[in-house]
Amino acid sequence: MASLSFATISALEAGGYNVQKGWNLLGTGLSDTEISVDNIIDDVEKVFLYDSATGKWSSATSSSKEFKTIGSGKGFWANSTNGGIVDATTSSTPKQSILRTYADIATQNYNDAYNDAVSLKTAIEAFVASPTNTTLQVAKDAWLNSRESYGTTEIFRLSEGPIDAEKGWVNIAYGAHEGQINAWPLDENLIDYTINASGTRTSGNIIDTRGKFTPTGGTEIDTTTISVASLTALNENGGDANVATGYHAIEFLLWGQDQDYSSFITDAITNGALTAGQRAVTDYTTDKNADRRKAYLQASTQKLVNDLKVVKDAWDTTTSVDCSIDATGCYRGAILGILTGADASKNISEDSALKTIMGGMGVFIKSELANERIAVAVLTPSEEDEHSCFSDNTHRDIALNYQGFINILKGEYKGSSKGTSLYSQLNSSTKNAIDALIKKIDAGIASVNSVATSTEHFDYQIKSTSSQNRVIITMKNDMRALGDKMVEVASTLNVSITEDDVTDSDETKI
Amino acid sequence: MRKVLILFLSLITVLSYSLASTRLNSSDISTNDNSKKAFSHALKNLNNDELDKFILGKSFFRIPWVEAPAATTARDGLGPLFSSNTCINCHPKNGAGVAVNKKGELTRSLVLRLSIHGENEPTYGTQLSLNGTFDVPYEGKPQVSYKEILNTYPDGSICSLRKPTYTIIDLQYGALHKNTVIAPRIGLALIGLGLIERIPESAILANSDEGDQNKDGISGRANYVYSLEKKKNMLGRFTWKASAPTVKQQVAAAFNNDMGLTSHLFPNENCTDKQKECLNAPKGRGDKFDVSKARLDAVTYYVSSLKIPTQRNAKKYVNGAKIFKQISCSKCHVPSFITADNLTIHPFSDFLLHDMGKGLSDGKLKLNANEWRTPPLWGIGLYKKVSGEANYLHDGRARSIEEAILWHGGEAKKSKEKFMNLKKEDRQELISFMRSI
Repeated sequence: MASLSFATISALEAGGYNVQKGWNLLGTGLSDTEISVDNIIDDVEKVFLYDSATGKWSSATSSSKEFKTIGSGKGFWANSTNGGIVDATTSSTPKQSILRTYADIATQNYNDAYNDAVSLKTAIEAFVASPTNTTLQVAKDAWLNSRESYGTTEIFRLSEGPIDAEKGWVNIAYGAHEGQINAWPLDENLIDYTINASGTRTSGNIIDTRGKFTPTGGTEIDTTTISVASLTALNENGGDANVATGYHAIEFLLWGQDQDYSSFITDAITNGALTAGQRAVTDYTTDKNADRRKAYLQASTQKLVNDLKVVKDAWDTTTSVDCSIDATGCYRGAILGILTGADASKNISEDSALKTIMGGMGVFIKSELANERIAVAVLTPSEEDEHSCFSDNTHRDIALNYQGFINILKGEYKGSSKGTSLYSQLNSSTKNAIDALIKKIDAGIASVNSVATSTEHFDYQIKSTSSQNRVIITMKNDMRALGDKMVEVASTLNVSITEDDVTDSDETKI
Repeated sequence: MRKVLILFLSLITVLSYSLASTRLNSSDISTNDNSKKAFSHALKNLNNDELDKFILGKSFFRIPWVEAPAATTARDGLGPLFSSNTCINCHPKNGAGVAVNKKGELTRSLVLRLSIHGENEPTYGTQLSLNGTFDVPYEGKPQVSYKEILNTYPDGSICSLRKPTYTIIDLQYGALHKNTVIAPRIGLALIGLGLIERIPESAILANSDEGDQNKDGISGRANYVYSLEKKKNMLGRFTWKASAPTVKQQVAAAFNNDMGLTSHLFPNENCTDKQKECLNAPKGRGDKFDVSKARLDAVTYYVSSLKIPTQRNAKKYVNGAKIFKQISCSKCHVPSFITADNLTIHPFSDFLLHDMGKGLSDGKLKLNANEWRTPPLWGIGLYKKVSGEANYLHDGRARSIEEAILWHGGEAKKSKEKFMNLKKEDRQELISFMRSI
């Protein structure tokens, strides 16, 4: 049986309640403050609630609504199997609670993305140390796994947050690494050899140029040693298409080109509808540039880990005491409005935080996911325009990007509730309209996924001859409509955003 | 039976006409966004198919084209001679081009057109290309030097103008023909093009006064040019010289001249017969042309469907608006038109050619060298915000609206003089008004 300990809360503690393993008494004491408990630790088994007004006890589970708000003069007995921190804020308004949920999901999701990138690094190191088909497959699996957690973080983009803020202190503190982490489409010719449409092997790339290398339209960089520093200098040097780093650079180094030109011109290179890139392991063993390719793989993965750490730290639950020196946790602090002292000026007002978040959600699902990632691919139609074109993992990118949107809308992460959500605030007509769209999009995603794993990858599904073409077009149209719904979602919170706010015509990566 | 068919057809005509005329409202064509993205918004109420076309056009406008034969087969065919690999390089965020960068070097937003008495330069063709693919040498490097010229107002205040001289160094195919005229042209802002196309020809011709019959010193000449699309002479409305009758023709011309991409309207690579490497270079592997009809349509649709920014604080500048009319700016910068689909628009242009005097002459003889199309002024106050820097006039020599006004000559000489005689506050109010439109 769990031990019995008392952790009586009589006033709000910054950062939350430290709940002990076993039974805890939580309450507001004699103060008449109401406390909202947004982030209940998962392992609270049973809660007993005492209401001094009625003098009655009742019981609830940790996810029940009653446990979310500790009213004045109320108390809980909560049984925790492990103990931990329960975040709490006084008299949370729904807006505060929504921001708290958003921040909590960001913190957990970027943590997971970072950890998965670290695991990818481990697998890459093992592969480089001993390149075999087996270690290559392990590295590929680790890359695919790392995309799962990163995919849902993309909803935090386009919201002036640490991943890609273009201006202000957030940009200065965190450097907007999105372009280093996930830039696409990339010009693979810049990185390594390719086989062009005439069947000729191309040269003059970073890997086969020992010494000085000048990307098209860019400035000369010394690549005698391929390192994090030289790759950083090369990335987007001479234009946004000159992508040298990030997930997709690593993807290309692991899979190689996925050569199916037949959607565009007649040629003989067709690997098949269920075949991704087929880079031979000899590129890392007997090939004359094997050493440089290994160095590239190691440096680009190290860089990915470094860059993700910056973003993860921005969302850390521990806030730095001086954000101008160390920005750890400062973005999270700013969005929750809890920075103090000289940093207090960085706090973002609730309404402006919600406006950028909801606008960003709309832009992401509409302009980025539906338009840039799906529409361009299916309309061109060209496999170069699918998101993960080397590994043919685009169906997962789409599903995960969309899941990220749903996570924020519904206040969920990995299937469990993380607190008050935007969705919970909606009136029934908006809810019904959104539910209907979600149902349709879910069906589209399921269809794209099931065909991708059984019959043809996304790059074949976009062809006009595929019956999936229509499914993808409809799915993208529904995603646009869902993005537009953010205008209504915002209005329920009395935050004004317009159709222009959820339509960023400027989103194309070039 | 025949009668029924005719009836049916005319019904379709009526229906499609009414659809087009009721589709867009004035609120659908303008945006309140005055950020750097102000020129990037799609018209409102596009349906999913229209939005698809817009998105597709945008992607071909922005994503780089590559040399053939490439792994990226959807966008190969760049060059062999070209100046830029994307449209957006020269129209930053769809805005006006910038002539010189912070280091004082010419940017690729400014192209140099070459001609000899209206004919092409025999070795280099119609335009200097800054780049070549693979083994194809680029053509040359343009340079500019500016001489400052002081302009003194009657009230004693001073504004310095910069007079450019263009030279080309590092010519890779030998010397230019000795009579070559170099005519610089900067990229124009791309807002409202679809609306300009929908102004009825008669409305533009109404302002034309070729022989200056009304003796106000301002003529205004309609420029009739051959439409490659419609295969007949049509009124030219686009480009600095009103040389393009339709948006599509101008898009296709820019693809060809600036990027070396062929289309059904411009089927030939831009090599002259003296450029062997260019002639022998690998060709794009797409359909017949680098830019297929569908893609040319999409890019045309994209640049034709951009919102125009709404007027900003225009009410604050009533006096400026009054002066704009008083000193006859509005005679050429005509404030408004009504489009064929009944939308009132405010481009501040008459889309006609005017003699602007020797100071702005580019020496090209095909048209009168001193003649320029009145450029639209809508959104001019946002040029800097959108492009990062603002340069005005056909070669970006003017660093401010004030400088641009002071370069006006020829038919605009009287207005310029009236401007110079305004009180300083009135000059400022006029410019503030212009920045608000």
